Amino acid sequence: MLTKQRLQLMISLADFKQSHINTTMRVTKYYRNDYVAVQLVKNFFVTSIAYLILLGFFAVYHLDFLLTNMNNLKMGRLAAVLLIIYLVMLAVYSVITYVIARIRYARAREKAEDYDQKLDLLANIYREEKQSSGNPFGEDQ
Amino acid sequence: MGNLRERLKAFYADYSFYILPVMKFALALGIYVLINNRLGYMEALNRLFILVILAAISAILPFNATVMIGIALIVAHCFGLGVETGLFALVLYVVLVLLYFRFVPRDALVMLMTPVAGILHMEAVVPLCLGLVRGPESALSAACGLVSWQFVEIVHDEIAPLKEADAGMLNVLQSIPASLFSPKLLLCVIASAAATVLVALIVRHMTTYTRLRAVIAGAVLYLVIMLAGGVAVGVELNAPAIVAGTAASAAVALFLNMFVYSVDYRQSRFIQFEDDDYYYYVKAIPKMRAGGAKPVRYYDDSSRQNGTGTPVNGQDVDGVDFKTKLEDSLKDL
Repeated sequence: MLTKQRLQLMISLADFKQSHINTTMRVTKYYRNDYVAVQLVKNFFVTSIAYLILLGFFAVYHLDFLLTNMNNLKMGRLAAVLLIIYLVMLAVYSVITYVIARIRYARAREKAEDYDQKLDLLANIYREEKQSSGNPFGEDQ
Repeated sequence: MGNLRERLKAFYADYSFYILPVMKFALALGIYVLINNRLGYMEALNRLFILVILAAISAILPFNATVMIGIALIVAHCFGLGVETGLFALVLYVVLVLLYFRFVPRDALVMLMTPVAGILHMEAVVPLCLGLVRGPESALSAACGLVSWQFVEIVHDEIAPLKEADAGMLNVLQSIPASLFSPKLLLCVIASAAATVLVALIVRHMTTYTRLRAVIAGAVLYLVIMLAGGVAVGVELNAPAIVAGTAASAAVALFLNMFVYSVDYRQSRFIQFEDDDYYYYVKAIPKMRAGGAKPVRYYDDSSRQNGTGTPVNGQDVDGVDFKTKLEDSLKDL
């Protein structure tokens, strides 16, 4: 039997499924710490690639200087400075990624819980309708 | 004006299925044509037919596809000018995406809209609009957009003549960042960021005519920083062009605010699902409230009960005859 409550609930669930389910499930299929860890791993690779690109370009930009002073450069100190810059950049972006991942997970989790509650409510409505239609067991026989 | 907006809302609600792709097509085509006119160094892409096809593809994909195609167009034209210019363009946009726009993908359109606004001499329109629709943090997006715009300008004004003079690859590659990261870029970044932050902060108060004041204040601040900063830093600026461009930017921002950002354009929604007994096809049509009145919301219940609270959206509902409307709605029961 079609009731207004059931219809509104089904429309709300279908609307959410059509618009948000992929983006929400992509996040909530992980546990929170796993999702944040995945984002941090991705951040590591992305930041490292960006750093290497910038480093390569910096080297090309100062190619004249590097070629002229190749023998006078203190490679150890240069490597240490580049490593420190890399670690600082990685740390900053890791913090940003961590914060954003936590916020995104919390928002997706809220939507998923709301969806689950509505699904449970719909299942209860179906069960009650089948019971009230004369089937005490609520199952098709 | 209120009636016009209501009619626009109703028209959009009925025909959004067709309107949205057409608008995306028009926007994408406009962006690609302007980029081609400004750069245009890759002969194979200087055909309207190709741009129309790219715009048609952009119309059916999400907005970020328009951004990707637009950036690919800029990079392709830079490769048409020279390998080193193309490589720099590729590096620049890849680094911008990897270091910033992966966190705020919805602001990626700024990378294209800022060069387009710059080509039309309305550089202030992007920071003003960002302040209206986003928050103060979008000042960073405005800054990244300015880097994109400055790069396009430098390719057109400085690199192309260098290439015509047969400058070496290394000379060209070294001159690009020197021209790009200049006092002029810093001045533009400061002016845009300040305008975005000011507009966003004023808009958050949400009282009557706030958005109008925010746009005017943002435009004035942008103008003052550009002119005063140009004198202080010693950057050559075309003052009349900046004044006219900023005024035009404010006008465009106010127009967009009136007809796009302040109006709740809701599409008709089509939803389809099934259960064991039925298939359901649902069309949800947004309600149009009579006289343009929105439901009035108050800050808290006590102020509403006392009648002393200020409505959140400040709509004047005194002209609506609620008694007649209640009687009309009861007839349907």
